[in-house]
This record gives sequence, structure tokens and C-alpha cells, in this order.
Amino acid sequence: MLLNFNAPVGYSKKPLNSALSTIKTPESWVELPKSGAFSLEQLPTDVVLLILRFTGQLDVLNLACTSSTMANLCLCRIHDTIIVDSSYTPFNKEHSLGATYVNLLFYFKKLLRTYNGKYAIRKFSVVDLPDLFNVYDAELNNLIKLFLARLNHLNELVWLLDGFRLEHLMQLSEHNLSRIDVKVYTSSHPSETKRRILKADFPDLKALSLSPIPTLRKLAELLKEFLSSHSTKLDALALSRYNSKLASFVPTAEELSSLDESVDTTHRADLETDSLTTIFETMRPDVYGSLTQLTLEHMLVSFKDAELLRASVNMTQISLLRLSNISEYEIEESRLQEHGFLGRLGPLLVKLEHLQLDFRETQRDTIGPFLRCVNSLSSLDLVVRMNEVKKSHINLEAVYLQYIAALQKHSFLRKLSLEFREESQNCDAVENAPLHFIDNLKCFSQLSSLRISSGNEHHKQRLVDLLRHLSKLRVLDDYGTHAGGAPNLGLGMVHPNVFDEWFKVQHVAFLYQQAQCQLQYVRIKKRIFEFEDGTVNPRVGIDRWFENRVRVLNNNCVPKGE
Amino acid sequence: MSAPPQALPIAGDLDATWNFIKPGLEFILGAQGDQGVTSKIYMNCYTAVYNYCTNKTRSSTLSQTSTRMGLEKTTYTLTGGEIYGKLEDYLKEYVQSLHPENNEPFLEFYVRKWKRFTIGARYLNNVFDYMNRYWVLKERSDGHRNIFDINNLALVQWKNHLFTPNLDRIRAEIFGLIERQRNNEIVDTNIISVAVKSMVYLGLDVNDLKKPNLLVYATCFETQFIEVTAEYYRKESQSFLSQHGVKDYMIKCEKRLPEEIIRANNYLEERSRKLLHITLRKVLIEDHAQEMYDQYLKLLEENGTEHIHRMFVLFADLPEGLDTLAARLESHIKIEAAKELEELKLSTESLEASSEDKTARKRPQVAVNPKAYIYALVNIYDKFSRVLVDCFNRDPRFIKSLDAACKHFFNINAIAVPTPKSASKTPELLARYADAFLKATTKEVETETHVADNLKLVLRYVENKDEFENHYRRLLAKRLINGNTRSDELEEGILQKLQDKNSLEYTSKITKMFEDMKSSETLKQRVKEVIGPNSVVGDFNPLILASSMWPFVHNEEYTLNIPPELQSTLNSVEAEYTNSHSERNLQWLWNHGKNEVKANLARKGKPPFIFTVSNVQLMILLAFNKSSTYSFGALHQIVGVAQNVFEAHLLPFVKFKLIEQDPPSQSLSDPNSSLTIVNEYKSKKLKVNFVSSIKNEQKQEEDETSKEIEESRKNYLTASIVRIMKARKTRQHNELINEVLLQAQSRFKAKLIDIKRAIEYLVEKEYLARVEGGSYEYLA
Amino acid sequence: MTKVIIISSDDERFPVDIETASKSLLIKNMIADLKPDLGDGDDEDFEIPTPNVRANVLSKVLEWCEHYKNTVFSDEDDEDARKSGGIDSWDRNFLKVDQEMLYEITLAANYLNIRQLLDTGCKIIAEMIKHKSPEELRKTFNIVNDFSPEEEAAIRKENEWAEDR
Repeated sequence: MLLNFNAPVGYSKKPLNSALSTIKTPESWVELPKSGAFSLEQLPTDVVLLILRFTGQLDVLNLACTSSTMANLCLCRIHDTIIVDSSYTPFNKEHSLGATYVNLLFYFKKLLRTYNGKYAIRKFSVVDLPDLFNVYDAELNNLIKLFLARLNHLNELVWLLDGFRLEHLMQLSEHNLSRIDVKVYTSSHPSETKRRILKADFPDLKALSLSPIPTLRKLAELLKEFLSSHSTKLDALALSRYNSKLASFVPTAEELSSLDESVDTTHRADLETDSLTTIFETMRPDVYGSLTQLTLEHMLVSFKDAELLRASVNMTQISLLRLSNISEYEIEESRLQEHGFLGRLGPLLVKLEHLQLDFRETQRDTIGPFLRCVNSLSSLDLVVRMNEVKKSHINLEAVYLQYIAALQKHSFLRKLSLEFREESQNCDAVENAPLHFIDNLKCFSQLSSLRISSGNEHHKQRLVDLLRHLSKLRVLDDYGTHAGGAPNLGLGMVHPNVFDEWFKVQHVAFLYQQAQCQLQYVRIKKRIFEFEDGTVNPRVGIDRWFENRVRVLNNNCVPKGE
Repeated sequence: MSAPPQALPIAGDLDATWNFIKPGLEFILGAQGDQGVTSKIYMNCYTAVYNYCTNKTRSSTLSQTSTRMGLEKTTYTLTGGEIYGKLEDYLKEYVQSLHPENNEPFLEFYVRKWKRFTIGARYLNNVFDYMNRYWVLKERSDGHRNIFDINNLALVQWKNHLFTPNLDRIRAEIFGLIERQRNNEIVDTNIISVAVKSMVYLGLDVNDLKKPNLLVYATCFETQFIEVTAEYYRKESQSFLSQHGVKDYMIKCEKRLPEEIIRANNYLEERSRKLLHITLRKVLIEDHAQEMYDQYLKLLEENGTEHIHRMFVLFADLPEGLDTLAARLESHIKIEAAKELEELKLSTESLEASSEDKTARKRPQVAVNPKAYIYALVNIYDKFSRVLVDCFNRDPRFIKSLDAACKHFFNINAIAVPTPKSASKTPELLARYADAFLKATTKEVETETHVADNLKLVLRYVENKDEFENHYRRLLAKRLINGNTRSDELEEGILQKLQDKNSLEYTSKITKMFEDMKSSETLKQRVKEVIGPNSVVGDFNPLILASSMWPFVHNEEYTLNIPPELQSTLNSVEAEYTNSHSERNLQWLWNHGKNEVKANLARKGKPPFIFTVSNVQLMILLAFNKSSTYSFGALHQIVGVAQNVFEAHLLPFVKFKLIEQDPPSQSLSDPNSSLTIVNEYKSKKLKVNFVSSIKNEQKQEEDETSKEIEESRKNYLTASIVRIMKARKTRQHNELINEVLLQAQSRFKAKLIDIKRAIEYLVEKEYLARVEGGSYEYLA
Repeated sequence: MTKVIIISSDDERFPVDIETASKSLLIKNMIADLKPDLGDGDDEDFEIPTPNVRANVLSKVLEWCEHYKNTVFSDEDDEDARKSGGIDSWDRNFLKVDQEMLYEITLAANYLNIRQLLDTGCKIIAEMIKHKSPEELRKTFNIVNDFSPEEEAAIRKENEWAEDR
């Protein structure tokens, strides 16, 4: 049965019938009959706290006003985890329960000013605030500094917004930090003194994530700031040279394939082939000895770096590995080597569960064999890259077959994201998945989230066919440019705040839902739909949450508590 | 809640709760003998703890306890601190109260109590689960790292109050048991393993309770264990070695080592096993290495295969040991080889006096049979190859030793290098060995493959392969023109087998040689037709050879005068050839070639003799057709070659009494004597060969050969230098030399001075230019 | 199939399968500790008293356990997964009881360490808290107001930043 992906619905010629609806009925509120004089206050503290974790912050505030005992408990819950995210609305249920959200700059500043340390803040995350936030505002920076200094029980600090500086932590003395994930702004000037800026040590630090890093020297400095305590033993490390999601193609594929010959020595220094050396050789060896999660983004590596990695990190313990925009360069020595970067690491990764791989290589394709020899994965985020140099060395068909064979090994995959990209002189184009790839995904019976680019008609038919087989699929992300079917010029409306874009693609959402009734969320061309009780609802404001569901990112793998 | 037989305490009362729980704890920990814990006790304790923890009436008075760390935190508190404290004290007392029973060895008591205690701790953990779930978790996440979940709390108390105070005693007893086990007494291994394992459990990482921590194990047990083990085996090995010899010691080692490892693996942790292995190896083997090396040499001489193999296995993990063994093997092989070849030389010399072996040319120094020589080399190789397989499991190190030794003695030994500084004769002898096989007159029964294998083997180790090629080609040429080869197929067979070792140009040269032979055959047919059946010359076999391919040189001394009766034949041949190949020049090589002449010098009634003679000799005889007597000078003039050549060719006739010198004199060229041919020749055989007695060729040939080799080497070096420089454009002087040496290695061992000369030559010819700083530049 | 007998605080006996009873981690651990061979043809029934749970509550709890006895709840340790799942419709129906019973069931789940039931109970109670003013909350949950109006206003003001509009 051929499905029509190009036919929108919901307008006069094709009205929505009741079976397909995008309006959701409100939740029925629970009202239980009351009997006796049992008071909420009589429940043990632990249970009350658990209830409060399930309650939204506004309601918690209301509860806090009821009595002093409740106020104590409620305000603890309010302050325990604070997330600053402007995309938060109380109507979305896909946020972290138990957290308090701040979505306005006004409230954020109020918090900074009025916090008195009475109730402990354990987790503080600044995820997204609109551009009103001026990073050069000296008063604001001071506020932040003083605020952070008061957070004596801080366990986790996350700051994903531009504008965080190391100086903000300068006054922090007592703390409990075990996780730091910051996009830190640093200038590329080396610091004047050799000593650290920060007063505090971080002996309990378990997870560290830093980006962007302007120069390697800065990287070394930053690492020293955070990892100088003797008892620091990291569980998770994530380092990214750039903030942007765009891959940068310096050096080009030709340069990569013979770095020592194509690039002269002066230019070589710019290329920063010492990224891994800086990370692993400037610190004491046992800092990284117990790493279980490692993320490296936007770096150059060679087979020697693989040896360095093996020596510094116990690769057999790694359960999350993200190599995003990592390019392997070849020098003369590397041609004599039997194994490249991936080949040397693959056999050791026996406990790997989550993998993101966006790897550029030129002389050969080692991804297939790599996937075959790592442990059976539960999440895989793979970007398959081709460039001219690589294609001249390999047989594309054979390599694809290799990939398919390797993928078969991971039949217990729960999360899969596949991208195919073609690198050329000036751009990096997204390609559609080859047809036989789509067909072979049927073996992943445990798959609960899938991200793939369907292409034209033909591809989409196959995708729908695939969906029918994946009975555990709950989330689907179709990101291709043709995801919504052919562009429909007749529907170009220009009113903002109406769900135009959703409108244009909802027919595809319907079709997908019909193919697989267990689906809960579908994203087509960046528009998210949620299926609930037979209705299809457009959703806004949950992009970050959705991204976490379909891709392998750092956030979903937080170090486990004790 | 209604009261079961034993009433639950009032929830808020700490002491009541504690007093209620305490008897239960005693049951759980096993203090009351070994009576079982009933579900009632279990649940009651759990419930009491639960009630205490969830009781809210106490929370307001407890806010002070949370200022333990001096932090101001007056929010809610979870209760549990006091119970925890009481439990902590209780456990401490309990552990301290444990004593061994009468006459019970301390270790047995320890293990017994430990087993019960760990079970009890687990129960306790579950009974106090509510506290673990909430209070302990909160405390730990607040940073109070010295609050543990109950199971670990119990272990901590055990460690602090029972284990650590008695550590030395425990350890001593464990080691005592282990030692007895080593002395082959039966002991209870379970005790050892449980005791050691307890140390693993007692290691706690305060920051991460879930990770097993081997700190205690490592510091309290492992280090000392390794020491004690080392000491024990050191003593044992020393005493044993001094009483018995190395051979027996090795046998004992072979047994002891795995024994110990199997035993130890029962109680050792993963990380210690490697350490143990290393220690044992050091103490048992490394420390006694020197003695074993000494014994090793003797074993090699005696061919004690089994013992050598054992030694090899023992040293298998010690790379330095193996290196030493390999090095000594190499020198041993060299010595053995030298000895054997020396013997061969001596025996040959003694035989020489009585030898009439025609296949051996009489050489000025040593007349060694090539075959014997090659066989000797191959035998030595085979013998030690077997040793490699039997004793050393074909370990690559030892293969390398054999190779290195062979490289040495194949080229340098008593026979090959009779005087120091002379070039190795091995290539030549090898070529002659092949020649002997391929000659038609051979009586050899070797198979082609056998010969080819031997050739390949020796060729592998010969340093100057180009010499071999040169000799081989010469001998082949001689075989071809003398019609001596056994069969063409054999020749080609052998050549093919040597294919990969020879250079390309070499093979092409040889191919051309064969081709020449074939085309000469066709030429001969044509000439026959032209000459007609009535020629003086019966069967003329002209061989047209490409001068660059064949190792023959036109020798001026051989300008021969051809008598007219032969001249016409020669002319027609030349004409015939020039017809088909007009641009080519022909030069007759009179120093090669054989003739058969019918001599009517027999007695009446007997068939005429057939003499095999060289060209010069032929001319001499033809001269005697015209007259029966000549003076030396006249004869010389007729024949025409250089005097020494003439004398040499004349000599056999005189020696064999075909020509008489009258009166006989010392020198042939005596002007006063005349040379007369006999009327009747006496000989037993019909066919007489005068060619083989001609002497003067050898020295000339030698010179020619070495000149040729020199020449070709020079060419090779210059070509290789040009090649290198073309690719590199510039090169340092030393680097260039090294590269050239490397490239030439597969063919011959180049001498520095030759390379230098080649470079000079190229600079002269402006292929290279000298650049400042001692390097060269390539000029296109 | 060997059964264990759970005895409520008012001495009522409830025989259940081991699988059902093992939904309570407390009981599961106790069986593992005290009677590890239970179920291997052991004819003796194992009695487990639960002094904190009355019979009517216990029967409801055991009914829940029986319904879920074959379900494996994954992600035991993953907090987010626990929290973000919605309430199952069977559970919702099951917990349509009066408030007091709801609390008792939740407490029993806490006591017996039945995590999923505890979560569900708490979620339902959380729903009851939704969209109510402080006065309504006091009424619904029998909370005694010990704030003066100024104190109440002060709390509001101090924590204004946490209001999500």
C-alpha cells in the first residue's frame, strides 16, 4: 500500500475527521472522598518529600504557605534543585520532576539577590535565558559570584549559557561539588600567573564538562583549576573545543590523509594535534584512571593518541563514549600501522553501553570493524561520513554492508540515531540513509527511540514499513529536508504564533502514527507532535528534552549516586 | 497497633527502642549461640527502627544534632543519628568481646567468627534498611563520608577492633599455613582463602562504597606475602641447586612453579597473581641464571635436547634470559661450524695426494670437492635447524641466531677464506657444485629438487650473490658451448628455482644465452646446406653468441691463422650470418671450442684415431698435414698465436708422444730442436683428448672473472646512487652511503671505498654536485 | 507452590505466593536471609508478621502485588524514569479509595519497601495538591495554620522567584 506523504490535511478540502484530532482533552482532576482527620503532616518526612518531588513548584509554594512544618519541607524541596530555563512552561510534563524552574530574567536576578543560604541548593543549572542576559554587565557578574559563594552544599553546577566565567567561582570555598558542566568563557590569553585562580579544591569532583576551549594552553590551565586536588578521581569527562554544533572542516580531508606532507610546519602549529596529549599528560595519571564516561568533541587524533588514551584511561570500564567531530589524521608512520585510532580502542570497550560516533577518517574506514568489536550497545548515535579521499580508498557498497553486518550485533539497541553525511570542498551535506539500511533496522526489536532521515517517497514507504515492525518504538525523529513531504506552496501563511509549520507536516505524523500505534512522540522537520489517546498534539518548548531522548548526549548519563 | 507477644516500644523513646532491639541484635549477630533468627525477631526489629525513624514528634528537638559539621542548617532533619551511634558502639563492643575458645588456633577462630559475622551483618543491613534508605543516604550526600550503610558499618567496626589489633597474628598464622602447604603437608586451604578474602571485603573506599577496594588486601597481605614467598623459594632453590646439578634443578623447577601457582590462585586476588609469577621467576630462575648459562653450553655440546628444551621453557618469560641463550647458541654454532669445516679441509688435503678426482680442478691452494663443501654447510644448518625445532620451539629469537651464525660461517670459514683478506670462495664453490650436477659427465644421483633446495639454502646466506651468479654463468656458458649439459630441462628447472634470488638482468642474460644456442642450431642447419656434403669439414657447429650476454672476451693472444681449407667454410658461415643480420660484427673466439679430428696414424688394420683438440691444436695438426717436421719457430709462425699460448697448446702433444721433440730439451721453444709428428700413434683408447691438459687458462679466467664482477658492481653502485639521488634530490654524505649499503645488501657486501669511488665518478660526470655541508645534490 | 503467610497487625493471615510477596523488598530480603531454600519443595509455610499494617490495608497492598506479580519494573535506580512515567489506569482505579486508605496504602508501601506502589501513591497525592490555594490545601489535608498573615506573606515574597508564570 503506497502512502501519500505529500497531502496535508485539516483545511477545507480535506477536513480533519474526529479520528484524527490535534486537540487534547484536559486531565481529569482527582478528588477523593475525605474521611477522618488524617493530616498530611502526619506522614513521615520521607514520604512527604517524595510527594513533593512529584508536585509542581507553584503548588509546592501554595503548600508552603499552609503551615510552618510544611513550609520547612516545601522550601527545602524548592531550593534543592534549581533550573534556569526560559523554555519552561508548566504545561509541559517533560521536564524534570522535583526541580524548580526559573524562566524569567527578573526572577533569576531576584533569586541571586535574595538567596540567604537557609535552604540548601544542591543542583543549580542555568540552561537557557534569552539574550537579555548581558555577559559584560559587571553588576550581574558580581551578583553571580556572590550567589555561588553562598552555595555551600552545591553538588552539581551546570551552566550551558554563554557568559560563565571562571571568576564566578572564585569566592566559592565550601562546597560539595561532584559535577561541573559549564560553558566557560575564557580569553585565549594565557594567565599571568602560574597559580590557579580558584581558591577552592574539588576533591569530590566526579563529572567535569568544559567547553569551549580557545587554545590548548587554556585547556591545560582549566584542567589544573579543577583537577588539582589529590583525591580527585573523575568518573566522567567531557571536553569540547568549540561550542557550536557545526562541524568545522579544518583540516580538509586531503590534508588529513597525509598531514605531515600537506601542511608545512608553521601551519602545523595551528592545527593542534596535541589535544589529547594536553588532556592526558598534563594531569596526574590516576585522575582519569577510573573514568567511565568520556566525551571528546572537535579534536584531531592519530593512532598515537589511541595509545595515550589506553595508557591513561581504563578503557574496559568505559560505559559512555562520545567522539563527536573527531578527525583522524595520517602521517607517514601511521601508514605502516595495522590499526588506526578506532582499531586500537575497539577491542577494549567491553562495557560500552552508549556510543556517539562522528568520526572523520581518510585512508580507510574503520567504523564497521569498530562497531563489530565493541560490546553490545544500548544506545548508538552514528554519523556516517564520506569524503572524496576516503571514497578513493574504499568500496562504498562493501563498507555499507560492513556497517549493516556490524549493526546486527547490537540487537538490543534501545536508542538509535543515524546520519549520513557527505563532505565536500565547501559544505557538509546530509544524505539520506541508503534503502538497505532502513530495511535492516527491522532487527532492532527493542528500539524505543529512532532518529533517521527519510528521503523521498520511496524511502518513506520503507520507513513506514520499518515502523510497523518496531513495536517498542516510542519516539521517532525524522530530520531530513524532505521529511514533510514535498513543499506545499499553497500553504505559505505568515501569521506568527499559529502552528503553521506543524500544519504543513502533520499529515506525515498521522501516517507514522497509523503505522505504529505505540509511538508517543514524533518530530518532523523540527516540529514535535505527541500522540495521546488517539489524538495528535503539536508540542512546543520541549526541544531540549526531545533531543536528549533521540541522541546520545552527556546529560542523560549522570554519574550514579551511591 | 495492637501488641504482639513482645510489645513494640513507644516510637519516640530512644532508650526503649534500643532496649527492645538489642536482644534481637544479639540473635542476629549470633551472640546467643547459633540459634536461628525468627521472622518475628526480624520484623520486630525492623518495625522498631522504622517507627523510631518516622516519628515526627522528635524532629523539633533534634535540630541541634545537624550542626555536627558546624554548618547552619536548621531545616528538616531525618532522625536516625542516635540509633546509628548506639549501633556503632554496640558493634564495637561485640567485636571486642570475641575470643577464641580454648585451644582453638587463632586463625580458625577468626575465620569461623568472620563467616558468621558477615551473615549477621547482612541481616543487620536489611533490618536497618529503612535507615539506609533515607538517613544514611542523606548524610552521605551531605558530605558526611564517615556515615556508612549498616553492612559497611559492621565491617568497619570489625576492621578497627578485631582485625587491625590482631593483624600480625593473623598474618603470621596464614603464612604458617601456607608454608606448611608448600612443604607438602595437608592443610585446610579454605581457611586461607576465607581469611584472605576477608581482607578484600574490609577494604573500603570511604568515598564510594560500591567499589571494591584492595587497599587493605594490598598493604596487609600482598606485600608481605610476596616477601615471604620470595624468601622461602630463595632458600629452597639455593640449597637444592648446591646439592644437585642444574639439570635436576630445572626438572624440579618445572614441577614446583606450576604447583605454587595453582595453589596460590586459590586464595590470591587477580592482581597478585602476576606479581607472584614475576617474583617466583626472579627467585627461581633469574637469580640462578648464570649457573644455568654455564650448564647451557655443555648441554649444547652434548646435545641434551630435553634439558635444553626445559631451560628454554623456564626462561620463556624472561626476555633477557632468552636473549643470552640465543646469543650463546649463535656463538656455539659458529664454533661448531668452523671446527667441522676445518676438519673437512684437513681431510681433503690429506686425500689430495692420492686423489685423481677428475671433477676437482687442481687448484693452487686447496682442492676441496664443492659437493662435499656444500654438503658440509647444509648439514650443519640442518643439524641446528633440528635443534631449533626440538629445543626451542622455533622461537624467532633463536631462528635469528641461526641465521646470523649461518650468515657468518657460510661466508667465512676455513675453506672459503683460506687466507685472511681473501674474498670468500663460497659463491664460487656453490656455482661449481651446481655445475657438477648439471654436467653430462656427472655420476651424481641427486635429484633436481634436492640440488635446488641446497642451492637455495646456501644462496640465502651467501653475502656476495653476484659472484655466485657470475661464476654460474661462466660455467653455464662453458657447458653450453661444450655441449656438456645433461639436459636443457634440468638447466631451466634449476634456474627457475633460483629465480627469486637472482636479479632480473641476470635471468634475461641467461635466457639470451639459451636463445643464442638455439639460433646457432638453426644457423648450423643452413650452413650445412650451403657448404654441401663434400666439405673437408664434417660437422661444423658454429655458435653465434651475443658478446654482452656471454662471459667470453675476445682474447688478442688468440689470433689464429686459418689454413685455406677451413677458411672457405668459415667464410660461408660468416656470409650466411651477415645475410640475416647485417649490422652485426662477428669475431671468432679461438680460445673456446673443440674439434674432433680423424687421424690416420693407426696401425694397419685398426680404425683411425679420433683426437679431440682445441682450435690451436687443430691448426698445429693441420700444419703437419703438409710436412712432418717443423722447427718451433716455423710452426709457430704458421699457427700464429701468442707464444705462451702456442707453447701451452703444443705441450700436450709432446707429453702424449704425438709429436716428438728431437733432440728432447727442457724448453719447447728451443730453436735447435725440431718437432716431428709420429707415424704411428700408440694409445689404448680410440678417442684421445688433448684439450683437458691445457693449463694456462685458470689464472686468466680468475682475473677475468674478478674484473667482470668489479665492473658489474661498479655499475650497480652508480645506478643505485643515481636512483637514490633522483628520488631525494639532496642527501647527506653519510646518509647516502648508508642507503647505498642497504640497497646493495641483497646482492653483495659493498665496500665503502667502492661507493666513494662511484660517487666521485658521478660527480665527475656531472650527475651529482657537491654541496656545502657535506651533502650532494642531484643534477638532472 | 510454597506460600508465605503474611500476618497483619490484627492477626489476620494472608497466604500468598513467594513471587507476589517478593514485590516487597523487605520480605524478599528476609526470605533470602532467613529461608533461602524456600520454594524447593519445603512444606513448611513461612510466617511473616507485619506489625505496622492493618488487615484491610494489607489486603489492598497484596492485591496490588498479585496484579503485578509477573511484571518486571525496569530502571529501578533511575530517578527520572521513575518520576516521569504517568499513572497507569489500573493503578488509578485501584487507588480510588478514601484519603485515609490512600495514605495508609502509601505508608504500607513505604514500610514494606514496595517502590512502585509508593511512587504511584505519592503521585496520586501530588495530583490532589495541584491547583489549590493554601486555604483549600489546609482544608483538604487537615493542616493546622500556624502562620500569621504577615508571616505567610513574607514566605510568598521571599520565594516569588520560584513562581512560574
